[in-house]
Amino acid sequence: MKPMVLQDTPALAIDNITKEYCQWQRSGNARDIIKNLLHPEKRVVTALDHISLQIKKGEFVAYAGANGAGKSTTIKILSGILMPTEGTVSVLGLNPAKDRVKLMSHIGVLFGQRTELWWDHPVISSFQWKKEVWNIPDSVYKENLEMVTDLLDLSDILKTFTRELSLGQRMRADIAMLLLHSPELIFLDEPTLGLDVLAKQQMIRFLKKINLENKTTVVVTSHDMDDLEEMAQRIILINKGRIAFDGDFDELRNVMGGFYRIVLTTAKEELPLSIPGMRLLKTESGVHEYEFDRNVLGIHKVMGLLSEFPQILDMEIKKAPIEDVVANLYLSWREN
Amino acid sequence: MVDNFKILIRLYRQYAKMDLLWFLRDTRYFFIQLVSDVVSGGCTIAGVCLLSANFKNFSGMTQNEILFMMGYALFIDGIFMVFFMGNNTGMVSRIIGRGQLDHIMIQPVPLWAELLAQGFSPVSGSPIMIFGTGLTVYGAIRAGLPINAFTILLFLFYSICSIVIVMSFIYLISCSAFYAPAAAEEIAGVGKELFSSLKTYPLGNMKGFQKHIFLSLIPVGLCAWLPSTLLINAGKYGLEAVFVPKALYLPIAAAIFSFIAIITFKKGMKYYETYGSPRYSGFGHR
Repeated sequence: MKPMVLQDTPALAIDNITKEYCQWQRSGNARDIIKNLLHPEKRVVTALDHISLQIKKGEFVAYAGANGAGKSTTIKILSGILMPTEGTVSVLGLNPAKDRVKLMSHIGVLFGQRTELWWDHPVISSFQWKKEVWNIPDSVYKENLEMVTDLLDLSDILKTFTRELSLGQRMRADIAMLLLHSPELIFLDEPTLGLDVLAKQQMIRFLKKINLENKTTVVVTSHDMDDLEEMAQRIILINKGRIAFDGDFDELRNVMGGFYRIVLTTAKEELPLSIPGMRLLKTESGVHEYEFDRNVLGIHKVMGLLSEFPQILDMEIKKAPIEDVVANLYLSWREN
Repeated sequence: MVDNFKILIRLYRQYAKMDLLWFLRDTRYFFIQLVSDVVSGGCTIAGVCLLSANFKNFSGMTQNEILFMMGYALFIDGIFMVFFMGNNTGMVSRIIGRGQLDHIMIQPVPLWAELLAQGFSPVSGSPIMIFGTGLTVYGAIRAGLPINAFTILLFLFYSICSIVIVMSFIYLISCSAFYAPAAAEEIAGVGKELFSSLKTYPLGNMKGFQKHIFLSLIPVGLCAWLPSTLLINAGKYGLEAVFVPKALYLPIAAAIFSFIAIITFKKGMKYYETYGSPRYSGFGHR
């Protein structure tokens, strides 16, 4: 699969964009009915607040944030569905608001909670519809259809009506359709939402493969941080419409203190050990999990400390789950 | 312009194919739909014939002229079914209110082309059009109207004007769904029902304010009664009945209605692009 057009420009560049919405306020009291009719109370919600960022071609970027942080709004602005209140956006060198039709030939957008497939038609009919609407040349369509059918294991469902697909099958078919026109850049809004473990793994493997082999730029939003870490090289976290973090996942852990986890196994009747510099997180049937800051307590020091406890039968050191790191981050933002 | 026309043809072709495949998706469904369409079309014609039989010189029209007008009305419904019934195109307030414009905006085709073409259902939507055509021809013969190239072209021209008025009216009221997505989601259906139930009412004996209202603000009279009387006059008196102010009113009204609808829809789109996320709308969204 080769991109249909190549341009020497960043995949996308956002310069100082702001997006404000107006939110109606209601007190819920009957006595306010007249007031609501004559002078409704409105509140301006700043979904994006002077955001600037660039994504290079071929990058796989996770775009994350808590509910209402502005993720979907950004995707909609980048797709030309919404216009920013201020600031400029360039996607593959084009202005999404002005060059929407041209831009859509080169990008793909998938909203995970919706489907682009035709509900009352077999999957293959949706693919053929895409071929006509996107005016995909026969050779490109054939090559891509074979590729997605093979990689996403679609051969069994191509002739099945969309309404009869399971969620996992539907998502696979949606992703496949997204790629039929060889987009250079794809936006995926929660593509793993609701998928079971196997379907999720298959989806992640596939996305990594097309990013790696076809150099397709991928921007993905999700609430599942483990999925994002498995897929993306870079994570952009937004909070209250602003970029709170932009870097790789290890940097993100370091920002939160470089915390690591250590799981110690002792005999079942053994009480948790008190180890200096480590915080006990949980203990169950002789398995005790601790957290420590690697910047304060290096691995060699940890090993030295543990050697003084002969009751330890087994141990495992691992990075703090990214879910927990981000959860702590969200919590700290909320408290601030 | 040429490119956009090619896109439109390509889209029409694709939606025609999809409609055929949908119609023939299952033998059982195919026969059920075929039978129900025949019964529905038969009932429509029977109802119209029985009505016209009971009204002689009703509202300034003979029984056969009323039959012809009913045929015209049914033909307009047929055009609506063939070109705009599929995929909620004729019920555009649903597309707007449910946020489905997003799906259209991520396609590399002009919005107007997709909205125009995606409702095309030449197979599943054709029964009413076939019944309308049949009834019109039958009514024309019974009323003694000549059927020739001139009257056929005039009939098609007036039909286009009428359907433009119907669609413009539906689009116009559907634009309220940009501002109140949940509340106005079904308003296009109300507009369509207004035409379905009122357009076959002859306005001949109606006077003054009411008649003007039905020929302007609520243009139901422009979608069966006025064009039928114009066609009857053209059949009786030929070309001289076509280029009179009364005859020009219909195309002018169609142009004005479509112009207002396009401007209003563009304004609505601007609003959608600016304040679009229905999530933040005061009227909610599902």
